[in-house]
This record gives sequence, structure tokens and C-alpha cells, in this order.
Amino acid sequence: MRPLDYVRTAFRDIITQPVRCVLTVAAITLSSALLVTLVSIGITTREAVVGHFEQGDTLSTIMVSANSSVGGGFFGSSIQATDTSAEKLTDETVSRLEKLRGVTSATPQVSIWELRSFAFDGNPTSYVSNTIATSNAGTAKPLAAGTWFDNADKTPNIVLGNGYLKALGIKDAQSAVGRTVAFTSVQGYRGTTAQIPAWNASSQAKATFDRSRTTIAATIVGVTRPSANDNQVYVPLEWGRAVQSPRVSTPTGETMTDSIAKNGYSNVLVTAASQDAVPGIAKDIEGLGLGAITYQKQIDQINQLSTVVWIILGSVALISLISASLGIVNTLLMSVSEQKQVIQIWRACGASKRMISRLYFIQAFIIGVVGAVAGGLIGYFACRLINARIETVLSSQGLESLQLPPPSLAVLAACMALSVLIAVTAAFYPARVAAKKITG
Amino acid sequence: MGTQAVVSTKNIVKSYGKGNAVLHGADMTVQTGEFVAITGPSGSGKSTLVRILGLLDQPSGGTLELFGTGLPKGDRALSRLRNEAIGFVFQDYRLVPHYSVLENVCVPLKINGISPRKRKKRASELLKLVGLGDVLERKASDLSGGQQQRAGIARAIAMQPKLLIADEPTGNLDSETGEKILKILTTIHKSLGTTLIVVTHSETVAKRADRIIRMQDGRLIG
Repeated sequence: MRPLDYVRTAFRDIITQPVRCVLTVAAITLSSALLVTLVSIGITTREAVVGHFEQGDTLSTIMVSANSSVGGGFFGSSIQATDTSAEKLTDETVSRLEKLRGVTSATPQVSIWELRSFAFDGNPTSYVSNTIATSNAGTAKPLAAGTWFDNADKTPNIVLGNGYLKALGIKDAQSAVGRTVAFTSVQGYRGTTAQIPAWNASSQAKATFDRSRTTIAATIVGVTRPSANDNQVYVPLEWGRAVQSPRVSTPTGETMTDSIAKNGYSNVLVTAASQDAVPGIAKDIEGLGLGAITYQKQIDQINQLSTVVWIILGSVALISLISASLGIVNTLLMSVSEQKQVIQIWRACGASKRMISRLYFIQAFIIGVVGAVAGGLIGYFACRLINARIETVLSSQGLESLQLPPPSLAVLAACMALSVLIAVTAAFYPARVAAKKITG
Repeated sequence: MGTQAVVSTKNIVKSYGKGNAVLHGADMTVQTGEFVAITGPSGSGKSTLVRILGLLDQPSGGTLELFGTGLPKGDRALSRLRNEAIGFVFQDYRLVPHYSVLENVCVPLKINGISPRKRKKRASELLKLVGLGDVLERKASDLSGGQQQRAGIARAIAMQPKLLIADEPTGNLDSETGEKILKILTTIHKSLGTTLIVVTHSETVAKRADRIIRMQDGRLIG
């Protein structure tokens, strides 16, 4: 028989029971869509998260902390034991880190908790301030636009994380340079520009001050390139020092406590000459009694976790697909049973057992292909919708640079091929029944 | 008439399970171009015998030779022989109900790999020959019994078989329609020289044959 005649004949037999056929195809379609959606989301999410960390020179950096027990990634460092022997991160520490082999720079950083939120000029939205005071920033973070501030700058010039551009709908990073932002402090802020009460002010005035916030204007001088830390705002270390150091009015005049000198830096960002040098440097840092967090460790852990999640999601979809294939077995067995006489007619006219089997395999193939293609398309668009939703959620959490790519065509094709393969495999038993039991 | 044996059986036995024999050693020969009628009461094994001759069933024992040689080995070769050399007409017509009349006649041609254009042409000619030229596109299930049997005959001779076997071809038809069917079969036999084996209850039909083989209780009795 000619190949096209096989297809026509198989198709003809399928459509003799249109309702049953449509229901079987629908089951394959839904399972196939589920498979494409879950597998694609699992893969693209992992790729996007890993890609997010791989942006810029993130993989070449090591975050150094004073606590030597801090050494894991996201998941390993969630619980930290108190390290009483932890030394302060001082300029001397920075100097020691700079001298380690393979280190190109060591940038001290201080988290400025005194600045609670900030808003852009002319924009009503206020963002939680994740402000880092830093020095030597230019060597550690490449910029998309503008320049880094002067390290010794005591004026409020800031470098903005790239993620805020997306939140504000700004496509050109350069256009953000020169704009101003207004920081709002925590209540009772006593750092630079705060109008602190005089030592002899009334207790009511002091209480009012303790509840008040200070607004500080700052100018954007630069915007970072997209990276894993898109939601941070960088300020000059000296200005940060002025913000973080509380002032107190005394009868002899105003006094100020240098918090950084007292507590040390929050952490030091070490940049390695290459990604390959990172593990060795991290080991050397730990040898100094300091904690070292590398992004590579975090990526490894994300990969491990996402593989487990991917296997679970894929298994769920596969079980669904196998269930649908049982529908094909049922449909074909009913068809064999109902068409017993037709099979006998074909046999009497000279059809071989192989020819009869082949017709049932082609029926399953047609059902599988139609279901897989429809499911693949539904899955593809479902993925895009879900990805868009995930991006929105991530964006609202400050991960603006994390963009999920559309499902890859290779994944789509593989899922569809698997659906067709399972559908055709489902035809083995009915085809055998048709060829052996009916034709004898 | 040729002299080569189209069908030759020796001690053909057919049984379904132990002690349930339907044929007890059938020996018969049918020569090329012969018209043979097989008669006998119900349950005598006529249909079983012709199903074996038509390669629709396998004997439990004995030897069957078709067209002067033993049967080829394997299902594909046997199916090919059935497709190309043997036509079978059933008592209950056995048309695919949801196919058109034309499509039904095309089935053996399609199995043989003949192109759609050629098989349509051939099937149309045959259907005109049996008087169904005006119902080509009608569904088989919409035809009368006589029309369905004529379509069945057209399908049986589609591949121009050397051997045409008809199992009670008039059994489900009234006498007038049965006569028409018999006329078509004898015309094919005479004009094409096709060897014809007809199973029948009817003595009138049997008398048209060159030779009558009688069966009783699974045995050939004359």
C-alpha cells in the first residue's frame, strides 16, 4: 500500500468516531501542554536565574564578611553562628585582602540603614532604600552611564542600580544621570543634615524629634550595568559615614560618633582577576579567619535545587501524558473491537498483518501529532504568559534585570516528540490485537 | 479449458479444539477455468473448506496447493497471493459500511499499491459492468442486498484473480436477484476464464456448474 494511502485510511478510520477522537486528542493536548509548560518554565527559570548571576563580572567577585562561619551560598548561610573571635573589617583588613594573590581590588562596603526610602524627582513612587556606602567602587562595578563618585566625596552623589530604570520605565540609562532623588530617613535620624534638638530642648521637643524623619536630596551621577545587585543604591563612603554617624548636642557643643570606625565595614567586595581564581582566593580569605561568599556557590546550589524541582515537575507532566496515552490504548482497542469486520474485509482483500498493525500505529501517530502540536502551541503561549507574570512579580521584588526567555524551540520540539512517541507506543497493544487476535 | 490444477487438496483436516473436527480429510482438485459448485447441508463444512481454499483460514492438517505449487511461507506472501490471485464473495456481502461503493471496490487495488487515479478508473469500470455505474459515491450501507452483493463481486474481481470463490452468494437474496447475481458470476467465469467455486444450498445454482462436489459431515461424498 502507498504511504499516503496508509495515512488517508487511518485518518478515515479515526473520524468515524469523531467525539471519541476529539476527547482522546484533547487528553493528549492537555498533557502535552502541561509537559511543555512545566519543563519550559523549569528550564527557563533556571537559565534566567543563573544568567542573572552571571551578568557583568559578578562571578569574579567574593563577598567578604567578618564572621568566619559565613561561607555558604543562599541556602548554606541562612543560619549563622555567633563568631566572638570575628575581627572588624577595617582598612587594614582591606589592605590584607588587596595583597592576596589573584585579587584585583577590595572594596569596603557599609550598609546604610539610616536611609529608609527614596523617591525620584517628579515620581510619586517611593522605593525601599537598599543603600551601600562604598569606596573604590569604580574598580568593582562597571557602569552603564555616568561616572562613579569621588571616594572622598562628602556630597550626596549616588550611583543607581540598573533595576530602578526598568521600574521607572527609563530605557536610556544616560537620561537618568543628573536627576535627583529624595531620601527619607528612619525616625529620629541624627546623621548629616538632621536638625537634632539642642541639649536643653524640652522633652516634648525631643520626643517630637524622635518621631520625625529627615529628607535628604541626592544627585544621580551614574547607573550600574545590569547585574545580580540591581536593586542597590551606592553612595560615597565618606558621605555614608556622615549619614551613619549620629550627632548629639551637648553643653560644650555637638559631638559625633563615627560608626564605621567603631563597628568596621559591613563587608568587603573582593574582585578576582578571573573566575577561575575565585575558589583559591575564597580559601585564602577563609584562611584569614574571614567569611567568603561566592556567587558560584549560589549558582551551584540554585542548579541543584532547580534540577530537583525540574525532575518533580517533569514527572508530574509525564504521568499526565502516560495517563492520556492510556486513553489512546482505550480508543484504539474500542476501534479494533468495533471494526473487527472491517479488518476481516481488509484481510480477505489481501492486507497483511503488518499492514493492519501499521494502520493502527498511524492512527495513534495522527492522534499524537495533532495532540502534541496543539498542546505544544498552548504550552508555548501559556509559558509566555506565566513568564511575564513571574517577571512582574520578580520586578516588584527588585529583580528587574531577571528576564525569563520564551520557551526554547528545542524544548518545545523535544516535548512534542515525546508526546508523539508515547502516543505511538500506546498503539502497540491495540495493533497487536488487530493483527493477531482478529486476523488469526 | 486449461488442464492445470488451480486447487489441489490432500487430506485437508480442520478442527476447532480437541474432538471438534469440521473437516475430516478433504481431497479435491479443481482445474483451470472450471466452474465447481460445492453443495451440502448446513454444518457439512462447505464454508470452512472454501475459507481454507481462499486462504482466509488455515487447515489443521493436510496439504493445499494453489495454481500448481505449494503455499508460500509467511503472512506477507500469503496475503499477496490472496490479493492478486484469489477473489472472495461473501454471503453477507462484507462491504465496509462507511465507505462509498467505489471505495469498497478500491480496497484490494489500494492494498496492491495501485495509484488512486488508476484504481478509481478500474473500480468504476467494474461497477458499471455489474450494473452499479450510477451509485458509485453512495455509501455501501445505503444499497439494497442485491446491489451490495454486486459491489462485493466487483471488489472480488478487481485484481483480475485466477480463482473466484463465492460462499453462498445468493443465500441472502430473493430468487430473482439471486438469478441476476448468478448470471454475473457465470458471465465473469465465461468471459474472463476465471476458475469459479461456488458454495450453495441451491440445486438450481449447482446445476449451472461444470461439476458438483457434495459434502456431508465434513467429508466429500461425490
